[in-house]
Amino acid sequence: MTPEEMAKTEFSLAKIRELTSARIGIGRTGGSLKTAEILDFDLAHAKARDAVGADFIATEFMTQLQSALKTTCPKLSWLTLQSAASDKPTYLKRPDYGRRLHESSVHELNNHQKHDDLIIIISDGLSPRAVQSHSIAVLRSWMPMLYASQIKIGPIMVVPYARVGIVDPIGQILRPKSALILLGERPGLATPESLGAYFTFNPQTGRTDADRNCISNIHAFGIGPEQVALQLHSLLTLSLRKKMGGVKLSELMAEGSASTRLE
Amino acid sequence: MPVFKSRVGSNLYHFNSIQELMAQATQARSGDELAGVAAPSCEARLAARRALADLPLKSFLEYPLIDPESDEVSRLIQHQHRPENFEPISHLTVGEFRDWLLDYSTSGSVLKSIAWGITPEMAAAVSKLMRNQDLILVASKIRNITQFRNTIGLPGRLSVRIQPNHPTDHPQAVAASILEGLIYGCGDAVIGINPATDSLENTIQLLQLMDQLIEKLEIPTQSCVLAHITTQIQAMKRGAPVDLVFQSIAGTELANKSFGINLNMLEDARGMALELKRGTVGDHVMYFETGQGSCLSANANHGLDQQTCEARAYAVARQFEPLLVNTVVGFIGPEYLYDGRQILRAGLEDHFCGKLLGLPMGCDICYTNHAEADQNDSDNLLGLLGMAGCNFIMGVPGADDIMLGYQSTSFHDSHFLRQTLGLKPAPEFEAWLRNHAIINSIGELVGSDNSGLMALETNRFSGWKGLLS
Repeated sequence: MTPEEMAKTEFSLAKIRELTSARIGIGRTGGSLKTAEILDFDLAHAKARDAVGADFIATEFMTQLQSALKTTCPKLSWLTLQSAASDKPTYLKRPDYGRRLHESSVHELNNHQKHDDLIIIISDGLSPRAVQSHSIAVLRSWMPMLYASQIKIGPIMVVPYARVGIVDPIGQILRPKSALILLGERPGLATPESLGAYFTFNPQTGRTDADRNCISNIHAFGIGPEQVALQLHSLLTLSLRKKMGGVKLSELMAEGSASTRLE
Repeated sequence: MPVFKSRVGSNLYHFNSIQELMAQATQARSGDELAGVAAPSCEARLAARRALADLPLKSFLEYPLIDPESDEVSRLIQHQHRPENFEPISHLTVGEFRDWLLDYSTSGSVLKSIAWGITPEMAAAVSKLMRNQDLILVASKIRNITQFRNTIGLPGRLSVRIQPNHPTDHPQAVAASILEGLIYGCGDAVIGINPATDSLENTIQLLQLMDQLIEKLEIPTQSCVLAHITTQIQAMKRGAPVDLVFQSIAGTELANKSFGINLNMLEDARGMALELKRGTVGDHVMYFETGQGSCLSANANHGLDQQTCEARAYAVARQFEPLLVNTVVGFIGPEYLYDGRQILRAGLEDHFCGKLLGLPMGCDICYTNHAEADQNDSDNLLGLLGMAGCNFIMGVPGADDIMLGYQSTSFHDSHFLRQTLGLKPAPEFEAWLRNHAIINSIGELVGSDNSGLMALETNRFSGWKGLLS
């Protein structure tokens, strides 16, 4: 191989490394993993295990969220609620508790204004760090679009130890047209801080996964906050216009994008 | 509906239904505790197993666990049952059935001849009385062989799905992971991508990428984009190169509804894929994934334990003659399978039940970072499923799925199994690997340069570099 060829090859491998954090080109001994790779993998697993166990202090996060959004969105209202899961071990073992509201939060919501276009819920889920790192950036990008489209935004709610399904009991009380929940996804090895966004049209008791639209992998090496905001906004506007969500909405969007491409 | 009594010493245990008996006879797992159907004590569990051992297999025909009036999976189970295949075992109790399965004279061909006489509930029931070694031994007798562009599930063979997922579905990044897998001798089960974005355009783009790769390198294998079935139907309507149609399935109509599917949709999609006639050696065009806990997670378990629900999903699967059925055993999380031990048990149960019901079972041996498990737990299940004759496993670069955020098995892991148990890839694929001097006659990777993508730096594979541009 000439030096020029070498340089070209190295460049292309380096380029692939920039594109993906997949564990490729990691070598082998016999057919097995090398010691360095085992140690590297186990370190990533150790970090992920620590991320699952990390603390999330809702009041502190709420303060950060408010100071980040208050100047651009002065009219927003804010709520810190509780799910039925009281601590992390319970949260991990009892997803049903994470889908239910604590009694005190039900009372609090009953007194709140109803029938908005959109409510937004944020929870630490399985990665407090994901929420701390990315959720504020997503909302910062999205808020100006929501204002421009004159979407009536209900309260911004922070609910620790929640699952996606908590959207439904909240929706049942506040009766918004739609709801978004941002929450930490299960930490992976490549990143312990990936955020998920789940959109539900007409959230109420009895909704299933097929009724929701999901954008996952929101993190530093995944989908960025601006792109998420754009995707969420087109989901929301189409959903409100067509009065539908979930698989049906996805199908509609698929048809829409296909016909646009044909034209 | 019968009630059951079981005495252990001075304690008398009551079970008010077959459902309750089945659930309490199941080995401990967090998902059944979550559902509120688990045995309240170890002794109660044993009492339930004793009563279950005495239950005639016929009872499952008389008393469907979910009312067929309200559940299309139950109707399917009734419709599938063939009395002539059931006849040889119709006189047995569940306990006697276990003994019969382990008998020397019950060969693989005998087991295949009764597959359509066994209902999922019978398979689940007998598995509850079986030790891990029983599940391994009986499954190892059964070979369920399927074909599309190669032959999967033959004795002495182990196939691998390349799972080249990427958080943004970046085509070059996906292609790089695929090439890495191929150079490690993997990819004969399927090259299957879980898309990060379930959109039609994205799905078509990924299908085209894999189709071109398979065509250019003339690989005897098949591809799949694991988008929702409705997206894949749209893709087929637009003429996209769909080899296998994928769908996650579960054991109750309600759970399937939560996935946005029903039996008719599966039938329609299969019909469309068959019409494309893209297989060369066979026409098994479906790829299903299952996993214990999916019914409960959709509030659709009808009071059944999660392992029984899982076995019922296999009735759905076998209706559509799949190429591959993959139980994704540890993905669902610790609320259903708490730790490595529970995941291992579930993997062996699913593999056994699926094989007994006639399915080409593979396993995504995996765990999430919030479960009490690690790579050593995966190694254990990997070795045991190899002994049990599992058709295929996953090949994820370095076992680390950077899109789905969980740990599966790696390309390297497949070499551990192929090496220790003398297993080879599917024969057509093995020939292709030999032609490209990727493996030698005993399945070892050839040459010190043959180390995944690093090999692209060498002359041997320099021609493949163009596939990444």
